[in-house]
Amino acid sequence: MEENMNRGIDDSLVNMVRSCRNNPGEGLDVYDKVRNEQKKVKRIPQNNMRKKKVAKKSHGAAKLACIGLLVIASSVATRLYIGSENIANSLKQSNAIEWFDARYTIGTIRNSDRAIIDNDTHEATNYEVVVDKLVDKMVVDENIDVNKVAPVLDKMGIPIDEVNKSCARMGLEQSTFMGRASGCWDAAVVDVEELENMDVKGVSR
Amino acid sequence: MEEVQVETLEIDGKDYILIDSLEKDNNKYFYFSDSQNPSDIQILKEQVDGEEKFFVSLDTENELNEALMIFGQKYKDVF
Repeated sequence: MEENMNRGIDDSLVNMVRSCRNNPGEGLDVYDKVRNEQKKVKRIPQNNMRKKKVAKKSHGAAKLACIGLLVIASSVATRLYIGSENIANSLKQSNAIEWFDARYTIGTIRNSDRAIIDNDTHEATNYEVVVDKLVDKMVVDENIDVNKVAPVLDKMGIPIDEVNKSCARMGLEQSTFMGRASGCWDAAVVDVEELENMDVKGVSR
Repeated sequence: MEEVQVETLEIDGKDYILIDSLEKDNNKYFYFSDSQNPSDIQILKEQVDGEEKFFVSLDTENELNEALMIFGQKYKDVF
């Protein structure tokens, strides 16, 4: 704490940033705020910039707060964007799931509004429909065990509960999923071989 | 009272302070925050037209994500 105070960084901000890094569910509100408040700027000449003198102390605090918020938004962006991109690339490279080329799957996945953004049209698509499509494609078309599907979708930002609901809607039973896929979102490259070697028991379709 | 010089830009009638600028893939991104409200953050990019340079909005949400990620990469050790 003392170290942070010496650097002029508010301790609660430090805790918030660290918490967001470690907990995938956190920080979406900050990310949404940054995203939603972006103004439409057509063309502002850079020579419109002005130099101004401000109080060093208050500016330093405000700047750090802004940096903290951007770092939080960045960790969410990483989870949403790099996570799904890496998973997609990893699955593509494995040739396990060619359907990842489908436009929905590489789009930005957002838990916050329970929708998936279409990569081509940028329109939100019904969340349940897309989860059903993903599960159906993986389980039915690719014949992958439903228990192996869950951790992949979990890392893409689709909660296990949603996978379970989707399985239920499609009459698939997911009885033995043994907890969330380990690892943080920042390292969301899925090892497909590892997933395929998982000890899966009691799956029935 | 000790003072420091900053660069500001007026966007929609509000003064924003330039926090940083970063480059990636031939794009230069500028990070601004409202001088009165640091949680109001604007990220713009540079557009060069002849000898003139402009600030414009980012094109897509993915570009916003990229701009955020390079910022996070730079400041990852601050916190």
